[in-house]
Amino acid sequence: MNKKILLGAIAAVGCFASLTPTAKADPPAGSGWDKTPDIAVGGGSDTTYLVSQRLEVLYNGAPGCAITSGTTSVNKGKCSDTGAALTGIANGNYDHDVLVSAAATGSSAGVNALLSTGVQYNPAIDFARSSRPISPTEAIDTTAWGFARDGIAVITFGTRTGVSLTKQDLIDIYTCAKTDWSQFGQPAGVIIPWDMNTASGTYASFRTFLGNPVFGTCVRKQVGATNGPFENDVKPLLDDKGPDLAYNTPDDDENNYLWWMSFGNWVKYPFTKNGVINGTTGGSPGAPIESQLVTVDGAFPSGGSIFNSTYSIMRTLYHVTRDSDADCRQTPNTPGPCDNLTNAVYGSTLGKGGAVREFTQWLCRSTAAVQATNSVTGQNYRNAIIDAVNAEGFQVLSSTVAGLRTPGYSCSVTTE
Amino acid sequence: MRFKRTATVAGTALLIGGFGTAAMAAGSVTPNDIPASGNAAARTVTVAWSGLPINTTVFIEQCNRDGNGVGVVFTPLSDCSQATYSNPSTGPTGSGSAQFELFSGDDPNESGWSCGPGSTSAPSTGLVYSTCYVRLSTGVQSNVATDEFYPVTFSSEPVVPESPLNVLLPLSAVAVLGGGAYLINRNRKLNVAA
Repeated sequence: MNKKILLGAIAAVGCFASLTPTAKADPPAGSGWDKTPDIAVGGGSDTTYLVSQRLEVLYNGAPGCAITSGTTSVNKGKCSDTGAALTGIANGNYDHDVLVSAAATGSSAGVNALLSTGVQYNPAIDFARSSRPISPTEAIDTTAWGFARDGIAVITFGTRTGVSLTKQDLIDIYTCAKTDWSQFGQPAGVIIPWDMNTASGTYASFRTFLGNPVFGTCVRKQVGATNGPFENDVKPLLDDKGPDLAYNTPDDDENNYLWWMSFGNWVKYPFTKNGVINGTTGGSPGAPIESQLVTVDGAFPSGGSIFNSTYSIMRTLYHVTRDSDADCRQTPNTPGPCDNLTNAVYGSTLGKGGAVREFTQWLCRSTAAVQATNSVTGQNYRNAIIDAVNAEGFQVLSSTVAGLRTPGYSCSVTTE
Repeated sequence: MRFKRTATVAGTALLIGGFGTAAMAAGSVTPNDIPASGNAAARTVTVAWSGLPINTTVFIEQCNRDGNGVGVVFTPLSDCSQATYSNPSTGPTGSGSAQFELFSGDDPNESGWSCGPGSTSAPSTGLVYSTCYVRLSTGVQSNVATDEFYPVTFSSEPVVPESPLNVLLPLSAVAVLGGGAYLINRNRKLNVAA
């Protein structure tokens, strides 16, 4: 009897042993690791350019495999693994891949480069940055991983302070149905609402909030321009002389301007949210002038109101991948909702695609308990990611706001 | 060395003078004693200021320390919760006030520190502060030259001792029954003796 129990126990241990990680195929099964460092490039959004760079630097330095370092070895820089046994932790950057961000061209241009029918970026990119959600058409080829939240700050300038507007007020202003500040309890003055580069996610987010109205003819573009000014920098507006081509006339009175921009940018970069009257390029610089937050629907954007999603004009910031590289579907690039187990990301097992897959998983791990620790600073990477997001004025997705995160991840995932 | 000013009695602090042209002349946080009982709903306090530059941003945030620490560098990004700060305008006179929501317990930003005891189930670094600080800074959040700190105490709520009924009730019952039996026995003995 005792002998039977003993044999059964040995058999059971043997069965479990065959399932332990040490029995994984080489390289780690079910991962994007291939023991070779790859360079993966991202492109797209201007709003998320700087936060992406911060995250990439963190990830590039995350610990991984032991490296072949022989001066004359043809394998130098690659993992030194010779068998199934891992030589480092697998929840950092095992291959020591290198991720980098290309210059910003706008969210749409970045996402388009990943589509099967799209036009590739220069340089060619492997993932995209987007400050707006992907469309159903884009979701056929891509998966969007929302990792941060931002607000759209509506702003006035100079002496136009303490302005409070509703969504309907903004619609009335941008459709030119109401054109004077006195219609909103403010000192009189012809409102000068400014337009924005239509390729930007910041433009799309604001117009979506307003219900996509057609902007009226009172909405200002720079003199001679067919598109609105690039987002998140007020200096081109301050530089503009207005239709009469002369400074210090009513049509370029900054105190009557109205615009919008990323709150993260507004809160972190005074150089882009403030400037001087008449700007600095037209030879007639005036006094310094600051932008002011407008209260929208009774609340103004702040770290608190964005984190708890009580501000009116919110948006999620995305890391976008090809479905074949990184997907929340166990069978990548197939239609249907996410069916991920815990925080697993599915997709490519090697090359740049594998690098994108592993970066995505690192970015979206749900808690510090499943994240690696920076071997130099001792900081857990979950906290380091939060710090990087906060350093650019954004918020991570709160776990206490219902429906914000996709189960298993710290991200909100959009797929086909 | 960087001098920081921390109000000792935040609710009534009057701070005069300063070390920079943009220093605040006066500020207060009311109330400044928050009952703490683990993670609890946000507590609203009133933060008031005066003597600030007009029409500029004043950042109000909850921090786990002030800027007076010896041998430590105060870093707003990590020492203050980035998930709860507010940023109203100082207004046209440089004086004003705003409602601010203090958290009690874990920093909602997953930082691992708490004001007063936090959750026992969440991963924690064990950094529990019975005194936290409301920090005011103007212009930009990273302005550590003229920022000011107002302490807020997260005191334990009065402990109401629970009655150990599961012990007291049986003891009382035994006492009553025993007393009754004693009296009956004594009466019997007295009757027999009589």
